[in-house]
Amino acid sequence: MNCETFLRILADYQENALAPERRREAEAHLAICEGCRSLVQPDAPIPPDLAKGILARTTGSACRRLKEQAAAHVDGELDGLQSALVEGHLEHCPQCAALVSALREISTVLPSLAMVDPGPIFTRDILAATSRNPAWQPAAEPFSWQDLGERLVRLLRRPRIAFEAAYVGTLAGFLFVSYPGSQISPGPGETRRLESLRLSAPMIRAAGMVERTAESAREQLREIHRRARQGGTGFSKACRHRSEVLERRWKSLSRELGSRFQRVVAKAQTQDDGQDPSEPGPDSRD
Amino acid sequence: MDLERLLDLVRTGDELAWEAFVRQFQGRVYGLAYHYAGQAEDARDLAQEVFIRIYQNLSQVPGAEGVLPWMLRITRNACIDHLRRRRARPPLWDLPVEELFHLKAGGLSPEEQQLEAARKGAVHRALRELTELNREVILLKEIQGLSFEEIASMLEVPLGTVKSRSHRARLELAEKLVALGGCP
Repeated sequence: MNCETFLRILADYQENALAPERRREAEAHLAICEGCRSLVQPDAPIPPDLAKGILARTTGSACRRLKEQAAAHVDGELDGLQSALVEGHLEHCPQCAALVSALREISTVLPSLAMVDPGPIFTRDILAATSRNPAWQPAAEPFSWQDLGERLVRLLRRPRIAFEAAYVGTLAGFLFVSYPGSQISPGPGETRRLESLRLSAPMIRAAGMVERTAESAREQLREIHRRARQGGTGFSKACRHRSEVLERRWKSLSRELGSRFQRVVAKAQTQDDGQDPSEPGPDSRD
Repeated sequence: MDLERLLDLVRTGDELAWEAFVRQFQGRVYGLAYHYAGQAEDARDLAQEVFIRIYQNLSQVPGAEGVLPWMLRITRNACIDHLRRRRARPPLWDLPVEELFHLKAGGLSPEEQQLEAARKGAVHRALRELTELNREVILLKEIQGLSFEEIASMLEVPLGTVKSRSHRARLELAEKLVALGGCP
């Protein structure tokens, strides 16, 4: 008997359905053929990658299908057969088993994330902010260093602290620059004239600021003029026109500021001298 | 406590009822704000802003069934506005999530608290890795427990989209959790 013949009678051999003589021929073949012997051994080990190889050549991996059903499986929405199929796949696929395990984990953990304790002083702050009676205060809690520490840490964590610090720094810088003894305090022109009138320090500083601003604007205008003359193109003409307009506006503004300032100076001097404000001051005679 | 009766008193401006209302819902509002903002301090400010906004519109507080979705909708809108403003100025740092979740883990031994906080922290970190829409669906459906219809209305997307997104979002979250090594 050869292998081809044996394969034809294999099913009958395994079911003991062969005639005795035919069975002896089959057993004689098995004694000399290791390949056919492996087919009839009931405990022949299955190659570990056999199913994988078969799937690769037929439907492909079942992992994609499992992903479609994993959430429903965790939620218990699959019927018995589908659930058994999923479990069968999970026994042999550690990746999918980890995925389903993670799904179970998040199903447990996610609902517990709904409530997060905002801390002991949250309610108190809200009640204070929504109180209709400003005089009413919630019952004071006993002082604790931990509470104070929490407040300080929270304050330091606020990004807004940077803006607040910048604001304080600017204010301090302004006060330093504006201090009457400072070297950066205003000096020439209108300021000297006001000093002779013994006006108060804030007015002197205001005058210095106006003068510095005017000088800065004039410098910018001169620069625009210079560039416009160098260019000579349409753009430079536009720049020149624009700068002329700006200059006219500036002159008008400075005249207006000057006249207003003169009135303030006259009024201040009149008050300092204890005169009637309706009487013309010394500068009005200039 | 009968919520409908409580809400009636809240609408009349009863201070005790308002306090009870705040205490009852502050965890949910703060929780949602925290998951959106990612920072405890921002979440605290947002939650306060939400409650103050509610207090200024007490007459609009809906009935017992609709009050939680209504509050969560206000919270979400406040968080979205906050995130739009913050895009120009990213946060300086985040509070470690385990530190936050330690706050809620009462009644457990220190070891159990640590384990619980680690589990929640891992899920929270995986949550941050999701796409924006998937994260919102998880936040509103799986965490806050809103219905598909409420979420579709809130996000202004079709109901079918929310349903299909829900399964996909959970799967994506599970994959992120595995990738982060947060799955036991």
